[in-house]
Amino acid sequence: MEAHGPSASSESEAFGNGSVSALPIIVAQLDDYYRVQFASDGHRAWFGVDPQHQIGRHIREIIGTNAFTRLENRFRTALSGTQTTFHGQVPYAHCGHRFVHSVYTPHALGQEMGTGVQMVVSDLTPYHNLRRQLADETLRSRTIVQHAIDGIVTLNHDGIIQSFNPAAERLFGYTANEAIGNNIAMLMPEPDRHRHDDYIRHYQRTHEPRIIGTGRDVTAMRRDGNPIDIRLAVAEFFLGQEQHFVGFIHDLSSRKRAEREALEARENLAHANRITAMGELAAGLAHEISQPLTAIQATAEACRSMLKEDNPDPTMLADALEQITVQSQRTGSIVRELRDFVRKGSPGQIGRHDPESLVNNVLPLLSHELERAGVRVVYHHETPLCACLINRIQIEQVLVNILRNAIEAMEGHDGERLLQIRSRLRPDGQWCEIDIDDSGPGIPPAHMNRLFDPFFTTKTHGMGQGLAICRSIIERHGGSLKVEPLAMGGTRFRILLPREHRDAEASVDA
Amino acid sequence: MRDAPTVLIVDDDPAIRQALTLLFKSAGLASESFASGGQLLAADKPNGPACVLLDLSLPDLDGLEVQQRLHRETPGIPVIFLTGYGDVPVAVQALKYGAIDFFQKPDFDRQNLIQTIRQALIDHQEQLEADAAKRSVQALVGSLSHRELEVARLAAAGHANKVIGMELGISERTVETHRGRAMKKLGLRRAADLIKAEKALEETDA
Repeated sequence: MEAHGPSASSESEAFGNGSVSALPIIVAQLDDYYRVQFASDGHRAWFGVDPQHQIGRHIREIIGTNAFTRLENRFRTALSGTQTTFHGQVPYAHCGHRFVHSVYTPHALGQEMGTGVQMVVSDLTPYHNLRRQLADETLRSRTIVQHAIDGIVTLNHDGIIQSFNPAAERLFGYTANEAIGNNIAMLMPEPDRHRHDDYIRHYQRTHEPRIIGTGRDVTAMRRDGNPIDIRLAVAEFFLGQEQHFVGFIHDLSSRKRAEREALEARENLAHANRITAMGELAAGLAHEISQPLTAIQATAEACRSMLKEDNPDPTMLADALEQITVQSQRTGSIVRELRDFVRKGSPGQIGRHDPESLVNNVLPLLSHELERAGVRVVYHHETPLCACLINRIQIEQVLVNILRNAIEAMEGHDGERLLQIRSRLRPDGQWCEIDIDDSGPGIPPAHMNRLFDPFFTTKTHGMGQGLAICRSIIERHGGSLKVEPLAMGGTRFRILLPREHRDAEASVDA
Repeated sequence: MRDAPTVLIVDDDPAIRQALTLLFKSAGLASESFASGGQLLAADKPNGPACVLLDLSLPDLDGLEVQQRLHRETPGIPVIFLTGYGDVPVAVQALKYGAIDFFQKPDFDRQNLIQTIRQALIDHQEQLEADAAKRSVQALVGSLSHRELEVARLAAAGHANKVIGMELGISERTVETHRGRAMKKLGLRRAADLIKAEKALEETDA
């Protein structure tokens, strides 16, 4: 071909079609009429045309009018002697849109042929698509993190905060700028604050997860120094070789508040139940108090009569006065028992008590009811005593409720009325057990399942709260309250309370 | 000694028993005390006048039951109840069964109680005497002739000699003679005594 000078040809050969075609680029040389002087092998892949057949053709025929119109300025610039580039998306003839990076360089074609253009076009479409996907993905992730309700914080392997989302800002009161670059320990109260670096190192050394992979309820610290209850979940990830952590922080303060309110409501209900129980006990207690008062008044009257005599017997008078003292102390102790019983048990009043002393505390409160119903009480307790960590007032309330139910069950029941109470440490050594057995007619099977439902009652009076409250109290102590029929007739209520282990100590975890 | 008027205290509370014993002692009244209805029922009762002071709520038998069994086993002993609060309906029942009175613990009027007990003891004393008289009439009535018994019964019912004579178809004078003999045999002196013995005469076969 005329236009195809040998020097140009040999120069074109220098590109080495073999090696150029291995790159994701195409190379072409145009003369000053934009006719193809050289086309690399890549053209076959792009345009489906043998590069040899493109020689001499106008570049517009190859890349299409659209692309040519977009690029014509660049060709012209290159022809005028200045290198220029194009970076962007163009519609190439049969190849759809391509994202390309092209360099257009002035190119000497030889003496008589003047200057042409050499174009080197890199097809960046796959990279471009990848980058766009990455950008989309990043945007998606960022949006999620930015708008998450939970705090999301990332740390590097030293525990230094790398990112801090808006929820974390709200939760802790620091801005992201303030938080980033600081040690995560700034969000922790003592003693975790000082130990946290150790926690991280412990994990890096042992790979023994303590919090990673599992959520945990912990207390964090806000910027203002106030504690905040959170649920924390931590995951580990690697950027390159570098270990990072991400923490998800869920604000528990509203849940904790709801829990506290529910607890208070239960306390109030239990307190109301105690008041009701006290009302029901009042008749019996009135009798209990009335007895010593009767004795006191009668004895005082006797003293008055004796003093009217000519020679009152001092010994008799002294005995009488002693009796008055004893009986008024008896009245006082009844009043004290009643007051102890009704006093609102606050959640903090946890003490170490054994079941025997609790049973012994409540039996006097019920002595009149027992007597009136003609119920005999047998109390077995096994030694050694076991101690439980309990709220005494609440457990005594449970005992009073269950004992009163048992008495009521036997009231008017023909046959023996026997109340058997047994307390012992179970053979497993873990549980203190209190059984309360009555010899009443038993609970109808239809009622068994509903026994602990609130508002279930078979009594004409009463709210049906008693056993529901009893069970919730026992369960809050980590124990259980069960009922079962006895083979000989009657019913057994079994209270299990966890035995106190003095050596048990909570370990501090990361 | 057991012939003296005695208060029988029944209360399961030892403090109450002790206090009431002292109260009655200071009022010059002898007393015995029992911890349960069963103990009272099982005990030998005094020969003389007595009064039972019974707690309404007792461990073994309730007060009403004690009252009724006492009534069957030892008729005539007066019963006074001590009650607690809330026992009023039962106390009313006790009154219907013949209790003399009831006193509510703890702050009943002690002097009123003592007064009521004294009166009950006096009444019981009279009752015991009347019973004794009746028993002696009953013992002697067998010694009367048929006619003497007829005359004595009518006289005890309050009829005049004349009326009795007409009733039996005998003269007033004969009535007079039979009546005098009957009185003598029965150990009665006054007409009023005969009227008192009316029941004993009616219930007894000649």
